[in-house]
Amino acid sequence: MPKLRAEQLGSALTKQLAPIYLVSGEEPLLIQECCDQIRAAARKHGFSERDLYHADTSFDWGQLLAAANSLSLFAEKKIIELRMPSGKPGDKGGKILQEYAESPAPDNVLLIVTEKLDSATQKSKWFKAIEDAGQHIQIWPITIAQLPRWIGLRLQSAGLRADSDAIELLVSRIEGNLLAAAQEIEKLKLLAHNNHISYELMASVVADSARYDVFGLADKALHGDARAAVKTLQGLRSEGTEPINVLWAITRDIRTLIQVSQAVAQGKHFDWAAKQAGVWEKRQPLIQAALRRLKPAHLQQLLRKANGIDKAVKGMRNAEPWDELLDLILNIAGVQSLNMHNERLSLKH
Amino acid sequence: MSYQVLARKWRPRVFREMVGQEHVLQALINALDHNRLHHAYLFTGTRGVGKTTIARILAKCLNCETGVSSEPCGQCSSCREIAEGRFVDLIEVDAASRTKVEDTRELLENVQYAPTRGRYKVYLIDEVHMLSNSSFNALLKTLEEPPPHVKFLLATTDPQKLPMTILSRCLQFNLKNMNPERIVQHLKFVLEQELVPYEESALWHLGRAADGSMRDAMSLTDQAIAYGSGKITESEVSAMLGTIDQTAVYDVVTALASYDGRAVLAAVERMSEQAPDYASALAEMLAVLHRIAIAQALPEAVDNSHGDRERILQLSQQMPAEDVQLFYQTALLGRRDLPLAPDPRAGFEMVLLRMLAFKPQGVIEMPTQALPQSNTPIKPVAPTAPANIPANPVVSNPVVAHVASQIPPVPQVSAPQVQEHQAAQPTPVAQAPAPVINQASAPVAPASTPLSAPQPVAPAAMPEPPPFDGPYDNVPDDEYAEYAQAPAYYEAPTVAGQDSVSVGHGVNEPKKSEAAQPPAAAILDSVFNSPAVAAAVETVVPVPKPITPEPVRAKPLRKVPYEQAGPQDWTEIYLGLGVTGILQSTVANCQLTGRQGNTFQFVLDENNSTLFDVSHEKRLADLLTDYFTEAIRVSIQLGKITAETPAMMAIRLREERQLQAIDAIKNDPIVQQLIAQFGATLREDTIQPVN
Repeated sequence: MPKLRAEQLGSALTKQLAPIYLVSGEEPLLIQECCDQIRAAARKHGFSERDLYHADTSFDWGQLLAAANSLSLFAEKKIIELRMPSGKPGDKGGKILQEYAESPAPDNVLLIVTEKLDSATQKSKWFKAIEDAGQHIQIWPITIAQLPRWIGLRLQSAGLRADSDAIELLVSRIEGNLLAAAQEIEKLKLLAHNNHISYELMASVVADSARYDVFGLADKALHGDARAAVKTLQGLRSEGTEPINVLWAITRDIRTLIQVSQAVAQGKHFDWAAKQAGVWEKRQPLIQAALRRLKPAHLQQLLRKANGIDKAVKGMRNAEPWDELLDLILNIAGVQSLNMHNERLSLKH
Repeated sequence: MSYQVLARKWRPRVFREMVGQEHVLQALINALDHNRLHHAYLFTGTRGVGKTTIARILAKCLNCETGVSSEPCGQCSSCREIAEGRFVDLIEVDAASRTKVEDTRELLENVQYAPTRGRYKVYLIDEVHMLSNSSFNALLKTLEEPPPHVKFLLATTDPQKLPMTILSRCLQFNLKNMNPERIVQHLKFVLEQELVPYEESALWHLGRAADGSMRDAMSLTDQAIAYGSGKITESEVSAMLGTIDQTAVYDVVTALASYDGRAVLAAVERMSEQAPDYASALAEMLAVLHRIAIAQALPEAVDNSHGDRERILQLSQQMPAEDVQLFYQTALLGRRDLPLAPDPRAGFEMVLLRMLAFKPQGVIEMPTQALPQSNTPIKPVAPTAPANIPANPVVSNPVVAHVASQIPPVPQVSAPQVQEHQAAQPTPVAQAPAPVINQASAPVAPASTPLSAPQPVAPAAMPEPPPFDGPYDNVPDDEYAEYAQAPAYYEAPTVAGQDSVSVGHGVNEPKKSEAAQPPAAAILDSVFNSPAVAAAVETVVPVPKPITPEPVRAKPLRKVPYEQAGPQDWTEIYLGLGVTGILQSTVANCQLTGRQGNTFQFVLDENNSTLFDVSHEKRLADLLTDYFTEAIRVSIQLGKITAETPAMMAIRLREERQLQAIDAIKNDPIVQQLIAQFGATLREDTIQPVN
């Protein structure tokens, strides 16, 4: 049977149930949802029992055959689920799968879940046997470009309406982690008033905290609001945020600044450069303002400093990460507390 | 009734009593009130922030006999049994002690059966990250297809250890650490209820020691009550916690701030009575100095989470910024060297003495930068070091000497502070001749001249190492040189162009002033790269300027007053507007023809109107409104220009400058020499005015 894409699965399931499903891919959320669909469809067809096996190195493949051949005590039909993360059953497993696929039992649905299958595996005998007898659903990762649409659709199916800049914000914060997106949407369902999601609500939710968040910190620093940035940093610290998380967000913005400033220095237009660097529209004025304040040499120094803090966090440098983070934040905001000499010196150790 | 520890006695029983975690509670309360319950919740966060407490309250909410709501009654038998920990449908498991897959299977065996008494069967699994892989897989099967009457509440300090498949099946809530302010607030509340007398500063100690955990704070408070036999005082709490008494560190810093060596040693002496760890004392001191530096840069940035805001602010007004930087640097280097000292206390004392010894005294007294809020003048430095020290470190840095030597003859530098300081100590500075002046009179002199020019002070003082630097001489790395460069600070502010107090306006616009200079300045600039020096040179040198290419921009712009603004002021107004982009091409080609009240009438040159757009009227009006801070309206008409527009003026000025530049080159003595002696020809078309 031909390969299916995840979106086609729903309609395929309403037509008929295949004896074997093989779900492979790298996006855990989509895999999980495909499996849920298959299970639900199978339940409808009376497959009320479910066996679950994990094919790790110590797995006894005999179990699978035994399960397939034995009748259940209570249910007439059952789902046999096989988790095979590696996608490589080995000789013995391959043989058993092939054997099963050649004569699938009508009382069973076999659901195999694997990670992405390489081309060598896709040429193996067991895979071909399964493809002939059953349905292969290949999950493709969702690219950044597709993400806003995907999130929009999900919000819609959750009964929420979101402003486009709210969606953009979510896209930029989850960095392609669909599981995180799904989680946030779950929480949004709980927090949204009359099902409408504004930019502000999204910002407060995705921050995972009602009070302080690292992105807000970076924004305030870029904006040059040293006072508010320091306050946020102190809040983050007392709430037990790991310094490495704070550093990550800050470093990301420093790199963005460098990227944009280099492009602008090469004569590119700012809007274009910002777009290339992945700065979404709402933040562009922020970046522009920061660039007016921070010159390329200064930015390089900030990056070096971030490197030093990174080492300090990881114990490779004897320094107090939070103090240095405070300094870094102040510098980005345009306040110099230590002079250049001391800064260089403290980076040496 | 026997005594129950505070942490248990004051454990919240309803969401309302929870301290902090509003973001989690809001979501949970909404879920309960609107009946949008997830089947599995995961609470993460450090110890004692409320994971299990929230889970228990949630269990009550779900099973309260009055119905599912965010406000359990607390009276019914379900609520009471849950509170007493004997409710049959709340299955609490400590996963840390039941990690094996058999345990999990046993636990989940009864999942499919309906709850015995309550509405939901609630599985509360604490420390869930401790489960083994196969246990997780067993749990996963149920999580994937949970029966409707089952709720899972998982709690862990370590969500990273959970497999992604589990994480994705739960609604995850991340509980935050408590900040000290919040802890102190709660402790106050509890202690007032318990009628325990306390000192607030002691609570701050406890709040910090709890490190984000309310339970730890409560336990520590219990301990403190027992230690202080019924009351909580700061001295007892800090003794109990074994924290370094912060006052000791402040004593040392305060003594440093008054440059009193004896007081410093006495402070260390007092500190030693508590047998502290000197490395952490030094670290603490670094933190204090850093906070002082921050306070000097931005006083509001200092928070009171250490309860020492006042002291920091006071010190930051008392100490000159340069000294704070120097002390910080010395402490930084000292921290690295401390382990090498035979005796930590000796090492610590040496660090402190070094701070005092390296502070340059009596040579240049820098204009100290007062805090924006402070009106008190900064105390003059008390000379504590012997008289021979002043000569050494400063002058070893020639740049400083130059800068210093430049200042006296400059009449333009009007910053009063500078003059004051010079007046205070004329001797060492004044005798340094200004080498640059020599140089300027011979504009094309080779670059080495200024360095070889007579300057007795600079080179003479160079070697003479500080007395106690001797032992380090054989240390291979050059970092001790850092000490010797200490005075580099004193030029730092000027070089960085941060405050223009010391060198006047020149520093702020080094580029422009360089550009405005004839070739001589360019050469000078290549000799002295530092903008501060270049700027200083510019202000000093009476360069025989053959041209005066004062660009229009450099003139201080006069702000045209609104009442008098009319056509004659248009070019001046234009320069003050700062128009950019396409709008500029329109506005620059406009002529202000008249004005009626707040309506300005413009005529746009029809030959240059291709980029004109109706929206420009509005945008120009906005700009003018900003300029005059009056509401301005603008009408632009196409037509013939009768007076000079800004664009025409720019062209005219450019041409004038070009002529001046050509003129300057032609009249240059060297060029004339070249023409006369080598038959050189001048290609006028290649001459460009600099900037």
